[in-house]
Amino acid sequence: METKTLKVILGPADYLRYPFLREAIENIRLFGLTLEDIGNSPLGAELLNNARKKILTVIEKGYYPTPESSPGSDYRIEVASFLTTLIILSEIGDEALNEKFAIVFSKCVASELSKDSIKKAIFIAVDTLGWHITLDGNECLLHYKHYLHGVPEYAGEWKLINRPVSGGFVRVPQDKIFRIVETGIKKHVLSLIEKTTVEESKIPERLYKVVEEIATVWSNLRSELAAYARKAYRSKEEELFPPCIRSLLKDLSSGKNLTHVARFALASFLLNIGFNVDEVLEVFRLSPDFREDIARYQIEHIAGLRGSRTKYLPYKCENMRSYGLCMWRCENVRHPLQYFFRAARGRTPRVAES
Amino acid sequence: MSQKASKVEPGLQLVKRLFASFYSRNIVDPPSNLSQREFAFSKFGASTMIRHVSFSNPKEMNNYIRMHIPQHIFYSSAYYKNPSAQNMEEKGWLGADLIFDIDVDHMLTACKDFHDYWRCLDCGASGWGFTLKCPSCGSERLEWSKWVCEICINYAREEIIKLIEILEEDFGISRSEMLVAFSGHRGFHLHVESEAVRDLDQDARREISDYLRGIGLDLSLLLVRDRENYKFKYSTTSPGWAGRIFKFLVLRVSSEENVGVEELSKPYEWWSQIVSSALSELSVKIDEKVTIDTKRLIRLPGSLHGKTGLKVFTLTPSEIENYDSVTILKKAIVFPEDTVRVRLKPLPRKVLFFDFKEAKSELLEAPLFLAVYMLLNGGAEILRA
Repeated sequence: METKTLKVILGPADYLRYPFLREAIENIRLFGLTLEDIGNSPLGAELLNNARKKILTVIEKGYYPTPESSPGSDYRIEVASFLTTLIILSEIGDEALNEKFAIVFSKCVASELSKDSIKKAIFIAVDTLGWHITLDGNECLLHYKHYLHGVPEYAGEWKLINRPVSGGFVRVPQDKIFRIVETGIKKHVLSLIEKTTVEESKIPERLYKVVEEIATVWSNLRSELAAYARKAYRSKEEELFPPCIRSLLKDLSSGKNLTHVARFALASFLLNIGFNVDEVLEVFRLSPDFREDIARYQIEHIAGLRGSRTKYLPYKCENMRSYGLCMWRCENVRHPLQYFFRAARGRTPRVAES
Repeated sequence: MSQKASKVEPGLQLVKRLFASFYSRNIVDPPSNLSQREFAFSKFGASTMIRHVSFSNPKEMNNYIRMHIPQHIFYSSAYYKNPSAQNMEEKGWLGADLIFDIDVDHMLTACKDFHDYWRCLDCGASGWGFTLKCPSCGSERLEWSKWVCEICINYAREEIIKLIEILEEDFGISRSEMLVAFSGHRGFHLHVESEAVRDLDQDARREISDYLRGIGLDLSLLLVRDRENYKFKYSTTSPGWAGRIFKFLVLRVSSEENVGVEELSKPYEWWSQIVSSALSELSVKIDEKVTIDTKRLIRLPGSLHGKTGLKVFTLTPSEIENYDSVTILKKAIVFPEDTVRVRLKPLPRKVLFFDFKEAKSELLEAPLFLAVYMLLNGGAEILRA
């Protein structure tokens, strides 16, 4: 796609605000900063400390801190700190944490961008995300593939069918582009984390300490949630659970035999909100055809302790619906886990029968 | 081997010999990127599939087919690093073609009364035509005998033509990137093979599928308030569904109302009704499951369909626009026309382009290729000619 008409020149001030930019990262790579440097040099200590603060702020306060753009601030430190956060996250290797980080980060960046300029947003989309996008009057033409990659939800005015689509391009009003680029950046950051690999033996002690510290903070936060979920289950305060899961629990306790997909949905949900294998096993003990050996094997499989070693996520709402397990509409919820986390924060989503 | 082979019943044994002779005389073209595809086969009379097979060149693929004479041959829409690996992780998914499946089984065609027969497994009632439940006892446990005729294939053909048009106009997919295949049974597959679609994930594929199926359209976005009524916001030149619906309205409504569609001012409910009839006519009846699956196994063009003995073959978009359904079915016939005697119960009134409305008994004379279809799909008995 043509970008010739777009004259955008990025400078240090942009790298400071958008440290994920392809150019910014390439510039930093030129310095050849190594893991040993992070482990030994004073600069390394500074980067590590910045990265640590950034991740902890994301976890505890829900925003990604960027330095005030002042004459003294060096974009190289900022970009290198960002790269260090990626290393730490990749070492912790918790998908939920990565997701949280990517969402918070992309939201902050998109809000900066919308104050900046549409041209810059488009430049980033083309240059860093690799999208086909052009400006056309006060609209943008975006290739359907990249539109679908970045669209925040598949409903209402965002749904492809409700947009003008022609010759492979979707027409999007300028002010909506920031939201699409935001999701694009989120996915880009996730892929950056995924691509970051570090040889275990080369991890400096100092880096490892930070990895441990953050992992502990994160898992404590998650275990508080898990304790909350257990309590809710025991005391039958099941409002924390979305209606689909409540209904499965009800079916189980009334002695119904759940289908295979229903079992998977329930087990993966409970495992993901922090139940351990034994606790999930207890829940399934109510099943009329319960056999501990088989059930344990299956639950361990879903928990990622066997087989492919992937911990399975529960089905998202769309798939629950396809399997006939969802007969509700939970407001702004696309995944049963999302319902749980909102409810746990005291913001129980509204539910309608559908 | 010989022991296993003898398990195949005599009728199937005959069909297997016909398949063998076909494959010995014909070379099956490989799919694109052959070495990255997974193949799956099922043997004659077997209910299981042999999966995770891969080939490095066309000759190897054809040799395998000739040696094993499979009843069904499938290949993956996906491209893999190691297509013969047993599990997904090791296979290494690299991308997948975008596949659309149009199958008349999912459509309410008028001809089903001629050739689809149901029998209730609970009360024993039976009858012709389409039903979801037994009309006599309400049970959903129905046993079916379903057949395909030229009318069904024409329905499917019309759907595929709509599909080609939307893919071309809206998605900018060029005809050279589309491959249409007669599935050898109840319809067509359309394969889009292009870089642009390869790495689409399930969600994106579902959105494309919803788009084509007309699902999720928000009517309020198409209308603008006009006092207590509404007007249509778009025009015939508008891209996407808005323009498509407008053109439908021009044809459907203008003649009745004596006023241009732009001027039509109607209550919301009126719009809701007319737009939903536009959608049901203009949407494409694809099978969503096939399109959203990024690891689908799909019939190999050039192979024979094991339930019909018809050949799966590819057509260009303009060929399918120009051929009628009888021509398409005839192109799929590979077995001889020699007459044999067959017994088929219940005998449908229409199969392919043959009419049996006048048939007096379940015993009839039929060309061999039809007898093979009857045997494979309905357990017909082929008697000596």
